[in-house]
Formats: sequence, C-alpha cells, structure tokens
Amino acid sequence: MRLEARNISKAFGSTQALRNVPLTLEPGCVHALVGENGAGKSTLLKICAGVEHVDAGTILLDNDPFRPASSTAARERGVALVFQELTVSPTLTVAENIFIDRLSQFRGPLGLVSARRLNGAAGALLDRLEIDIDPGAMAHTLDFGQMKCVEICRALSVDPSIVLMDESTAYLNYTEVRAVLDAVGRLRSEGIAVAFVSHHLEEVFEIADTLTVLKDGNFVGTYARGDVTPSQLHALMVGRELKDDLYPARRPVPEGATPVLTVEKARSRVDAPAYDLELHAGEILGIAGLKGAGGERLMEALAGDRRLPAGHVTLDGREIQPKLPSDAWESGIAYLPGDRGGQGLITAFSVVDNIALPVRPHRGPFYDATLAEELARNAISSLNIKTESPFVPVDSLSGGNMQKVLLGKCLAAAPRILLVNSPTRGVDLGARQEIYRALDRLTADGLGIILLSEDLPELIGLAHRIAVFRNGVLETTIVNDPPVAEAELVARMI
Amino acid sequence: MADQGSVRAASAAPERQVFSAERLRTFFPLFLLAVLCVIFASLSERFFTVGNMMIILQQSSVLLVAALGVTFVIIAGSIDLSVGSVVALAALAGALTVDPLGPWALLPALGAGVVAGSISGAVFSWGKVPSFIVTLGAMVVYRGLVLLFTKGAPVSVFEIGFLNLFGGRSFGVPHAAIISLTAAFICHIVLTRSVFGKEVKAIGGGERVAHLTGIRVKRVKFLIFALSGLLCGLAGLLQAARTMAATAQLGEGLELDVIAAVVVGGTPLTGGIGGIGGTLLGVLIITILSNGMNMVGVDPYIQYLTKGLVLVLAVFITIDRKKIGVIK
Repeated sequence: MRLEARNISKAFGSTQALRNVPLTLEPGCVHALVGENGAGKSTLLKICAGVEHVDAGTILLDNDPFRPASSTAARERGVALVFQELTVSPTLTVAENIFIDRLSQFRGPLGLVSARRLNGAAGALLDRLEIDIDPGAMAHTLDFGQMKCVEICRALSVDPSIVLMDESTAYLNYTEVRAVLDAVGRLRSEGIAVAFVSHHLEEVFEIADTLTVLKDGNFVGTYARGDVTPSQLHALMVGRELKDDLYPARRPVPEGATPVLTVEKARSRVDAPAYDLELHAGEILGIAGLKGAGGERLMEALAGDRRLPAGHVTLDGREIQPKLPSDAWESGIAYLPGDRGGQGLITAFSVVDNIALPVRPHRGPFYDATLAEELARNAISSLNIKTESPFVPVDSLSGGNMQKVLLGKCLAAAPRILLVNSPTRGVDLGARQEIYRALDRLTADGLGIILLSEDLPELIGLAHRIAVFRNGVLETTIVNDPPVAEAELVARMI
Repeated sequence: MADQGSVRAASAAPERQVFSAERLRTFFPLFLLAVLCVIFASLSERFFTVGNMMIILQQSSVLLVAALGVTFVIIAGSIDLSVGSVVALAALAGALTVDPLGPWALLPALGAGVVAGSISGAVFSWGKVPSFIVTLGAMVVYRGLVLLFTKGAPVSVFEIGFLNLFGGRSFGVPHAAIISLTAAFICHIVLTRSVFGKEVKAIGGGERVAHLTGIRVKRVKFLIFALSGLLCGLAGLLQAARTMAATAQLGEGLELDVIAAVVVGGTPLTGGIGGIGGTLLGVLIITILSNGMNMVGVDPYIQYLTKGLVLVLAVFITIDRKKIGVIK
C-alpha cells in the first residue's frame, strides 16, 4: 500500500509544528525523516498514525482518503506506529507485550487467555523478523534493542502495510541498533512501507532509500539516498553549513604531566583480570565497550555509586575511596549520568535548583539563594542555555538545553575530574556541537574528562585516548592520534 | 524531544489565559477555609467569636505540630503512619516523669518522640524497608508499648507548673497555640531556607538524582523521621497537658487526620513539592470542619461523611495532574 500525505499543517497553540508538508511512503521502501529537534518529524508520524489530527491537508492510502480518528482506527487500515519511548511492560511476557491490546483474541472457552496459542502467535511474528527471543520470557530479561523489536512485532501483529518508526534507535547501544536495523531491513523485503526517524545520520544512510528533510515545521526536500552527502544533509537540516567541524580540534595534552587520576589493579568482577588506567589533566579519556563490558562499572565506581570488587583510586596523589556519590563530589569528581531525566535532573525543579544541587550553597545554616542564582546565571551564559529565566522548570526546556543544564550542574561544583556518560543522547546537532565545544574549553582549563559513549564517532571525535572494555576487562588503550577507524574500535569491542 | 517540548509550551500558553484553573488550584485551600468560616458563621452566632477562635487554635495545636513533621516526610516522598502512637508514647513519657520534673517533663517526652522516630528512620533508611511498612509496624509496636506500661489505665497529670506551661493561657491566648504556631514558623524557615529543606525536596523530587548529586540521602531520610518523632513528642506533651492525662487510646487515628491535613493543604503524596503554609491551612480546615459541625449540631455520623468528602474534593481540585504522571 502507498501512503501519500499532501500539504499537512498542524499547530499546537501558537506553535506551528508543520506547514504544508508532503510525504510519500512507497511499498518496500524505507523513508527516513531527518531534521533537528522541533523540526516536526514526530508530529508528522503521529498524524499519519492517527495519534494527532491535522489542521489542514489530506492523506491518501492507495488514493483513498485516510483520516484516522485514533491510532486504533489507523491500525485497522494497516498503518502502525512504533513509539519513540519504550512501551514494553517489564512484568509481562514478550508475547503478552506484543498482543497487549488484543489479548481477548486468545481467550479459551472459560474466558481465560491461552498461553500456548498466545506464545505461538508471538513466536510466528518473532520468527518473521528472525529475532531469537522466547515469547514466554519476561520482558525485563530483554535488552533495550530486543524490547524495541518486541514493539516492532506489536506493530506487525496487526498485519500492517505501513510501519512508522519514531526514533527507534535513540537509546540503544551498538549491537542493539544492529538488531533494530536488521528488523527494518526485513520489513522492507516483505514489501512494507517504512518511515524511519533517527538522529543518527550513519543509520539513515545505511538503511534509508529516500530521505525527507524537515526544518522548523517546513518541508525542505525529498532526496534519494545517493543524491545527498552527509555534510549536505547537515546543511539542509540546520539551514546553514556547520560553521566548523562538529568536533573541535583536539588540544595536545601537556607533555610529561603526572596523571591527575590513577586507577590501579581494578577489577570489574571478582574473577576478572585486574587493569590499570590513568587520566591526565586536560585530557579526554574515552571509554568504549558494549553494555556490561566494564566501562560503565568503572565510571559508577569513580562516581561513588557502586564499588568495584577490587582496585585503588588515586586523585592528585591521594588515595580516595568513594563509598557514596557525596564522597566523590567532595573529592572533586563530578558525574554526568547517562539517564538525564531519571538520574541527572529533577525535571520538575527549576534550572537554579538543579544547577545548585551539588553545591547547595549556604551561609551558616541558611541556604544561599543569591549564590545559587549566580551559579545558575554563570552556567546559562557560559553554556549558552536557552531558557526564559533561571526559575522555570527544567522540563520546559528542549533536550539539548536540558543536557546543558546537567553539564552546568556538574561544573557548578568546580570539579577536578568530570565523568561524562553519553552527553548527547537525544540532543540535536546544534546543541551537540555546543556541548563538544564546552568540553573542549574545559580541557583547556586543565579539567580531566572521562567520556563514556555508545556514539563511536563522538568518542573518536573527542577523545585523546580510548580505553576499550570487553567482558569486564580493559582490552586495550588506543592513542587516538591519528583518529582510530570506527571499524577497528568495533572489532576491539566485540 | 523538542516536538514534545513544543507541545508542552503550546498547551501552557492557553492556560495562562484561563487563569482560574491555575489560581483555583493554588488558592483552593484558602478559599475552602473561607467558605467554611462563612457557612458556620451564618449558621451559628457563637462560631465567629474570639472565644471560639481561641478554642479552634487550641484544638488544632496537637494536629498541627504532628502534621509539621509529616509534611517533611511526605515532601521527601515517604509516609509516616506511626504519628498517633508516637504521640501517645511521648505523652506517657511526659506523664510518668512530670511529678519529679515538672515542666522539664518536656525532655523525656521529646526524647521518647525522637527515639521512636529515629528507630523508624533507621530501619527505613539503612534497613531499606518501605516507610509505609516500617511506620505501620511502628504504629502497632508503640501502641503496644503504651498499653504495656499503662495496662490500659490513664496516667493522670496534676503537676500545676506543667499544666500551666503547656495547657494554660496568657491574655486569653492558649499556650498550645503559641507553641504550635512557633513550631510551624520554625519548620517553615527550615523547609524553605535551610540546606536540609532543599535536600528534603530534592529527595522527594528525585531520590536517585539526589543520591548521584552527592546528597547523603539515607542520613537525610533518617533525620526527617527523627524530626517527625521530635514534633510528635511535642504534640504528645500538648495533648497530655490538654487532657491532663496520658491514656492508652490517646492519639488513635491521629495519623489519618495528619495525612489528610497535609494533603488538603496541597502537598501531594508523590513528594518534591509542598509546604508548611499549606499544612497550616489543612489543619485549620479539618479542625474548623469538626468545630463548626459540632457547634451547628450536625449528626456525628454525617460528620464522618462530610470530612471524607471534603478530603477527596480538596485533592480532586488541588492536585496538579501535569506534574504527577501516574496517579497511584
């Protein structure tokens, strides 16, 4: 089936989310929607899926008018949406998650759900995508990529001819992304029309046949994959050529400097071999590895969140043993966690309250609101945080600006060392560049940074050295000069 | 991401125009209090008199002092069900020591409260047992302790210095009212102006974030329950002075009135937001509701019914559903 949307317009209050945007999805074709945050990609998908309703414009399904009243109505016509957020319930089985809204189809004579028939139907869908998961397994035993695949199966379960995928790879690591992209490839080979939203242009260039670029709710153009280069696409998305490279030029690490932080005889597990690691002032040390490989474990240990089974940590020549995050902050280690909303920021609180949280400035027993505001204003100006005022709740800001608030919060404590976990997750290109520049400036001031990221180009673009973890062991430390090839890094990780 | 952001910004814009919804939420407790006063004043001449106002302040003092501590607990995202029993325990400690100590029976009463609260706090923080369960157990254990000591018989308080200080009046103003309002003022300052207050709110707003940001979450949670115990100690003292005895039944059901008062005052059980001012209003609403209905002569059974309905109505109107994703 072919979906053709013409002149789609949609406003939310005074914000025009889409202006006369066209979109055509062809069977057996993956169509990527690209654009910065706020460009209108998600809104366009939601309109096609019946979640939102158009203000103006028409949608045709094989030349028949299509104006779904709800997502259920859209599914009945064969248009299914995979949401950006994970919507898998961890306490239900894979099969129950796939058929969560249609469990009544599997009722037996007593009105009870037949697990055998349910698992059989789910198994058939999983086989179709060649996903190796037991339909009876509890969803919490899956990794995020598998959960995403379960959601794709849920979309497939209505036998759709059009599947819309909203940032399905946003929070996935390298292998998990592969699983999702493989599933998308299989949908294409079955003749399904796929719309695919992603911030990662590498994925887009790998999987998409055609690309539509949106900018601030406007249609920029539709291109065949071979017709545009990544840098042209950047320019189309941002509306200007990126002034400089995305990644700043690496500064040299001061020669012969003694390390600011050393980790000795550390073990990720009791039975894993010990490793040593050091970090110099002014250096960005990248950490690469799959989930559970040990890199995140080291970072959590340095942050005082979880202890390693063994190991000594020395900061500026003094041994430290952070038992709690408060110990780490007090000894000058700031931690920027990967989960912005759940671990980094209290999103209902104001920008000031978040930024001042690690410092909690006080005069005697009283909280010093003036100093807190000063800390916030400094962060807002130095990191170029776009906010109406320091007193609005953080959740009124865009993803990129929230991330800058989180960085500002870490810097307010004037740390010696900054631990950064995935600093640009769900952050658009412009903000990403600003965050990279900020990290670069910090190294110039002599801060040591440990950067853990699943975004390998980011690691390669920023780090002086990259420590690669595999199976709980420090596999190797690569001096990233000249820059290491992504394929080599992957080969070391897997 | 920003797609959602723009949706949020867009939906916020028309709300500023319909200012009544937001205003109603914020000012509903005050509005409710005013409405109750108008209703009762029109139905009974004796309601809106200085004398009755003093009685209301006196009646509300125990509830207010106990609710102050629970406000901290609830803002931190926890719950304290042991309030009534701790008040009884503290009242008993005061009553048992009042003869040798006089007004200094204050110390054993407060001490009993702090110890009782600290035990709950320690089991909750370091033992990692949910506060609902810990304080549910504590409620029963401390009530049992009181019964064990009193064998069910009241312990009377006759010490005149004690009764004057905590149960008397100066210039017609009940000392209990002065004490409870002073405690409320101090708690307000602590919650809004101290580092501890900021930490309490941060824990309620996002405990994991607070922990990773270097707040000593367990210590703060322990201190919150110790503080709640201390304030229950003070409430017990006021109660013992008012009834001139510590009884085994003293404070039974108080925990529910306390939680109702905090919630009616606009502090949601989900934590992170709220304040002492709201709790003061909530306490006055609940006290005036009882006082007024008694004065007007409402059937006691109907009184129960009304109180329950007012509680749900108040939360129905004041709850900010945008900030609370899932209503549990």
